[in-house]
Amino acid sequence: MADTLVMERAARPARLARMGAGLRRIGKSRAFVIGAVLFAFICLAATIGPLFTSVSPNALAIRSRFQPPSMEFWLGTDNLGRSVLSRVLWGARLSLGIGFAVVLINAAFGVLLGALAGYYRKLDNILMRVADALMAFPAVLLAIGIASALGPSAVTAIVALSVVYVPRTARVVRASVLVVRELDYVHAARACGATDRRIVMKHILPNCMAPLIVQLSFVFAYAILSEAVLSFLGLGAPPTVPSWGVLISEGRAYMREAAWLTIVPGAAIAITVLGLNLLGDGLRDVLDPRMKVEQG
Amino acid sequence: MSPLLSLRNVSVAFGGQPVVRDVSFDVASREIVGLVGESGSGKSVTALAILGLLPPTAEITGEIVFEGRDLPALGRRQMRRLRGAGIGMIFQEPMSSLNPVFTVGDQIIEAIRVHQRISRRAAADRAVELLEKVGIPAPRRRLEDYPHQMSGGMRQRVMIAIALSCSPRLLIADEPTTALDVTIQAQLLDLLAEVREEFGTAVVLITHNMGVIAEIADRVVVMYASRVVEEAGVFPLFDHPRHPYTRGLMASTPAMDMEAPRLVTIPGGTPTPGNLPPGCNFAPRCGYAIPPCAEGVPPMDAFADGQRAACIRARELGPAAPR
Repeated sequence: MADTLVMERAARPARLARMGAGLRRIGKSRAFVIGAVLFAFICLAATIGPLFTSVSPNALAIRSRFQPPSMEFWLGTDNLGRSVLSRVLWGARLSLGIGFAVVLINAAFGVLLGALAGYYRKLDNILMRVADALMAFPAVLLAIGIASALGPSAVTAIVALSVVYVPRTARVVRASVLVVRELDYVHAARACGATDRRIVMKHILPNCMAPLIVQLSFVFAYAILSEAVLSFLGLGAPPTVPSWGVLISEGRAYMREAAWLTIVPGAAIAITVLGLNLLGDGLRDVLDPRMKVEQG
Repeated sequence: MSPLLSLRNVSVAFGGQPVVRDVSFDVASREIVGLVGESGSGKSVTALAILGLLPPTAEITGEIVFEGRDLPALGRRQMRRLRGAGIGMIFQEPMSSLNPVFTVGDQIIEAIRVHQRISRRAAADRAVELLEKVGIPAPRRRLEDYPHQMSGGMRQRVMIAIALSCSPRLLIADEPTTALDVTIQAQLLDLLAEVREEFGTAVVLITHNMGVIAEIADRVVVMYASRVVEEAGVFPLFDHPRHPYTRGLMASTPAMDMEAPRLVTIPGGTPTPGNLPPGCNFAPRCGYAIPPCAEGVPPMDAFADGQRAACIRARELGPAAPR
């Protein structure tokens, strides 16, 4: 018992030191730091931003229509006198929420299907041909097709974007599973009598995490972008809900007179996507040092 | 007493191409049997066939009987239960045989809990015990280490601990010392011998290193180009090998007291599985070959002392003179 305590006390600082070393390594990647800051800024804005805007995103003020950015309305008002700042912040919640939902579904189904295809070679052909078929369509076109078949709503957008991106994630997972399943420790686990499930869950998947995490950060970025496209076309969030795509779509008619109506949500999308892409690039550099060597 | 493991006319083929032919040998309990041969002689495939770890494309024929059960006939589930608990295996590469994302403690505990329903805490205590047995200092602390924090020799000790975790009756060690330097090799061989003494585990030791065999094996099975060519106790084998291939192997092993200017070699190279000569596989490289050697596969010839050799001239040539 005393022995166990000693072990635990000794182990904790060691673990902390390891985590510290990992953080320092990540901190060295400039892309990661910039991306993380941008993305954190957007997330913060989405979570606590709406608390600070006293104006409801749907509060009409007909007398103050088309106000350019000012002290009263930091980012101006739209054609119905609604605060653009308030609407962009609420829109962030919706856009990030949809993006995050797509990432979660991707993580779940992408990993499941990728692991099945990579581990059970007989399933591989079937699953991957279906994935090929889905990936043969341009991403946005397929999303538009699915969304228009299901009818516009936020859930539709999530479903459509998941159908588009899950095959891509599954491919990434499958590729890593194919590599890891041939490694010695997987054979060793099998020689110890481990079940297939245990081998996949404990020995294969944890070693496939690096490319998956990178892939998911990109899926997040693409999902936000595609959601904006769908909403812009009227196939995503309904016009009553201020998602970023809806805002751009609404502002489009007044681009000459009130450019801020499109510039502000456009910038929000740009910052988020840029942030996530930098984050993904940075993570890839840190998680896969070999790539960096090859690049120079 | 019936042997622990018994192979009878085991052949393995891939796509109709045999890589192991007619292999028969026994392993008694508590016995260390060396399986020797060059790369590609089929020794590793034989080991994997015993554990049922060959890919499904492999065609296995013959009998592999372990504790009275014919292994190829077992179902997937039964075979899985046997792996680890009945037959353990140690692989060649200690550097890559451990999962890099878990601590060694996690991996030993996992191996224990695959076959035994005990608590994590009890399994952790057992893991400490095992690490101590295989000679790892400060085992409690080492449980928290990741594989990359250990040297190759220590990792191989961990692999042995994992293989021993479920007290198997048979341990198959596939070139366990090849990747390690010589002093560590010697320590690990001692460890394997201790394991046999303490746990009563039989060991099939696969190697191409005659020195390793001489160190710990009780009996030796020599394979050449997919077939067993000679089988003997370790002393008769080193003392008077009967098969010309084994003689060649012995002659080409440098000895401390030898003053030969050059190492003796066996002329030629091992034939590839698709290109076997007719008759005796070794005939084209054999200094004693006569025309009948090419006519048929030589049968195993058993000698009075239990030595067996697959050579039609073994009797006529007599035992090789001791060096």
